[in-house]
Amino acid sequence: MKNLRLKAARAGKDLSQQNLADIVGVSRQTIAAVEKGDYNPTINLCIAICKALDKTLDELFWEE
Amino acid sequence: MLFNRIMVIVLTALGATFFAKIIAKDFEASGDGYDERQKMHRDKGYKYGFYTLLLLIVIGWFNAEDLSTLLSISMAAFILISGGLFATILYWIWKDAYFLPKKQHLLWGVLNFLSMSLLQVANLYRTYQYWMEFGQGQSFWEFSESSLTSVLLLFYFLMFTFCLLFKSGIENWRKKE
Repeated sequence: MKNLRLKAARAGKDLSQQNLADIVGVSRQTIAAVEKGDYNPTINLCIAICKALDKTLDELFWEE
Repeated sequence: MLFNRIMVIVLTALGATFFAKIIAKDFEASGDGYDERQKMHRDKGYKYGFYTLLLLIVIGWFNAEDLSTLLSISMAAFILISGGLFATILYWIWKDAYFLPKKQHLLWGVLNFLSMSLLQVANLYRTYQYWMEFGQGQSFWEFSESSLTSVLLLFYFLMFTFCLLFKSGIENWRKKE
């Protein structure tokens, strides 16, 4: 399932996938895969993304 | 007999791969390695390479008699091992796990594979000239078995180049979307 909240949060910070990938220390394709729902990131990567985007884990990754 | 010898060579290659993987793990642990998704796909790449190797062994096993007239032991072993490596690298490229996250130098990757392809073309051309001069009464493949290796390597390197360029094309298309 696509992670549209992550995409929106990234766009809200005016960051490209490459910018976010550089901050988090992964490849651009990994960020793209997480946004598309093709890859389930580990908790470490989730936390790194949340810190980079000033969001909580619930806000970006929790699904009801 | 043929496949016993091949198995020895294959097992030696697997041993070498195992040590190479340990060294690679140390390198990755130093912090200058692939990200977690890439590591997952690189591990899958090793797995698919191994399955390809097994598949080629099984195919070779059932056609051992025919193949023994066509190929020498070293050539058959080379095809088995290089086939496995080919599948592994192709999978890495396809899943964006070939380049390091901070070193995605497509141009250098393409130039690297293209230069290796050209080296094989030069080798084939040189062999062809020798064959024209000294290979009376022999077919080209009988005259030089190494030419088959060159053709195989040429195919591999061109496929890697094509795959890198194709992936890059898809990337650019997605960026424009």
